[in-house]
Amino acid sequence: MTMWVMAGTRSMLWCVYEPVDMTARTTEQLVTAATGGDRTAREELFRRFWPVAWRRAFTVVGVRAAADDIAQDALITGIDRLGDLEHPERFAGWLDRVVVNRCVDWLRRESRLVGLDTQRAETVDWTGGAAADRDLRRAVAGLDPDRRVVVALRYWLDLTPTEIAEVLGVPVGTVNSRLARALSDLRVTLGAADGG
Amino acid sequence: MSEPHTADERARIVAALSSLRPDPAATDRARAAIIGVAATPGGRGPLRWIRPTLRFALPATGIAAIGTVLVLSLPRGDEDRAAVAPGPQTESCVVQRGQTIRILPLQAAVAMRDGTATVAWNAFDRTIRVGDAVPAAPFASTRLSGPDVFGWTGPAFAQNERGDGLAAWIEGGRVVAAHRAAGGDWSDPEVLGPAKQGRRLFDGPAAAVAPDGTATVAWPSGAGLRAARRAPDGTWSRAATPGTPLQDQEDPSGASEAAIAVDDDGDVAAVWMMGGEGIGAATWPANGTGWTATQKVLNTVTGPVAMYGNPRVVASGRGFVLSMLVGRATRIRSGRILGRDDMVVATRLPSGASRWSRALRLSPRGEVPAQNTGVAGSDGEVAVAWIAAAAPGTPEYRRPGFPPRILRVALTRDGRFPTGLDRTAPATLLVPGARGTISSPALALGDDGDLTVAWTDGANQNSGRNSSVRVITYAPGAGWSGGRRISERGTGPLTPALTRDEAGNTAAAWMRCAGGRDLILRVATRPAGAAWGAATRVR
Repeated sequence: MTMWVMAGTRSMLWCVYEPVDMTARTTEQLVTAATGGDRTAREELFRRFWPVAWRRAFTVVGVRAAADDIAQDALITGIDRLGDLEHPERFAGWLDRVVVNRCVDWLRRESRLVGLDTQRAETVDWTGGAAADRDLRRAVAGLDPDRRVVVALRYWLDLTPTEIAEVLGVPVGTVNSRLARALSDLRVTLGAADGG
Repeated sequence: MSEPHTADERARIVAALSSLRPDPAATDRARAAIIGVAATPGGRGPLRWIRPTLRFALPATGIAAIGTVLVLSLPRGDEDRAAVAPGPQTESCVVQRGQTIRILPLQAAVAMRDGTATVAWNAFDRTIRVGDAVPAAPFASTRLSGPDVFGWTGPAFAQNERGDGLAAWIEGGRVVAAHRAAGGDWSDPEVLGPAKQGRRLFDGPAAAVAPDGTATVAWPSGAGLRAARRAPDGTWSRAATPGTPLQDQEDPSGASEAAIAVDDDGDVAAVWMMGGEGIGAATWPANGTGWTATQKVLNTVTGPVAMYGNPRVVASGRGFVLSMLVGRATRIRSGRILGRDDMVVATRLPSGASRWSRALRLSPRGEVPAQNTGVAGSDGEVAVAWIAAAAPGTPEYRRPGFPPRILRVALTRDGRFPTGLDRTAPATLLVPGARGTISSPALALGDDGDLTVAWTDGANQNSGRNSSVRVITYAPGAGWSGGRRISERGTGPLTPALTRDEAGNTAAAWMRCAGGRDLILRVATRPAGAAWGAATRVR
């Protein structure tokens, strides 16, 4: 938090000089500063976007170790290529795309997207957090992989069905169908959990 | 096709994600890997701050200082082409899944006694190591720590004149220390207390060893400091500055950048950033059981302070001297700072006094200073150095939009800093060429006012492919001389540490992560009255 000193007042506030407080800066300002070599700006970018990148990766791949690697790779790539960003204010969205692409690459390598009609028991370690959240995450984790992935991409990465279709390489109708089935499955699970 | 979810369903699914957290260890590894990545240059950036911490043990030396402000020249002397003894292949600085990631090197800590240099460093293999330059096995390293050392802070290392040493570091979320009596072996590590869990990456402990062997370690906690003091008989006592809880608890505070110094009587002074409340200072008397009341030293600065930072403290024979960076607001409108005058200031706590003196400006107007550091001699004289962006219109200023950096030093005479600046000083340290930059000044103050200055040439915060460590010496009556490169050229950054013993033997140490995987730690020494020797590769 940046604060300023007012002369002659008791409520004097201070601003950190070294490093300059980056928390009040916009993403665009941070990207610009980091591109110029400002390490404190890079630290702030990491602080802001590491949890988000990790969370997005984890929700898609469902494995912590993989999420660690994917998020780290994505941030390294993102920060290493800051100079390529024509629109620094779009860093967040750009980073999301990098995360998603890496997640899908990982899933494909792990053959999680092969055999879309195959019923497989998936083990995902979405632990932690509030009880209600855990129940819902457990419900999502129990979905078929193809449905779980579209749920993660739709609700946790905010991709539109069209974007999901593009990422997964499937028709938009397939994405919508999977979403509908996933919600139907979740309602059954959550309804039972809610006692309804 | 309409959405398959209701608004409530969507909200619940989105909310279920919010409590997911990455593992702290994964966050640490990612931070280490990611912060070490240099951004692709894209135009001129702001002044770049390098961690300016100078941690070294300086036995008290006798000097006669010169009371003036000097501007360094950069005489391009003979290049150092001495061969460097090859060292063993080290662990990678950071390697992740076969991909080498360069990590920001940490500053080594170096001490000198009777011509023997001792260096302590974070080895990037989650250990802290120390080595002495003994003839039989120069810098054969000893591991001081366990295997879980925090990778982002170097050790604090202090040594008194007779050779009692103390190293402190962060390991497993705790502050840990090891002690060595003069001529003895290093002890097993001892846990002193919980380390701060905050956002800053460099909040390591600070250490000081008094002439009688009493050792003090302090580290940020709450809005103040926790500290532990080791008596010569080996017993530890704990204390915290007022308002800092001693019990273990998660510490969400912003206190940071602790620095301490000890005088010949064993009194310890500490300074630190108070997490948005200014810069705090407190003392722990040699015969006391804890810290005195914390003083907010920004109150010694006249006028409204808009920015501050980089507090440093040294112990002179006349008390303590604190130097810091301050930005005084010159124009305020509707609560917004529209104009600011940045400066380096110094304040004193004379021996026996309880209040810090009114701050004295050391740096000239128009320059934007950074990275201030200080050193004290045994007879009460003090030197403070800083990097500054040259002011427009001065001879040091070259082309608009890219003010070059200069390095300035202020020296006391009879314990007093100059009240005016000698702008007719003979020369100015400049960065040649578009890629040049200087950073990380280090000082050693010796007999007869001999001042040695080291700095990094050609490196900014985390890059610089042609960086090196340069040194120069100032002698009263003789001016500046002996400017030369003492290190290899290579990828930056570098943060040299400098030390000197009572006899005038000087040592410099620096670290770099060359090629992204080779941790290099080198030490160069200059025997009293002689020239700098070839650097020895420690790691």
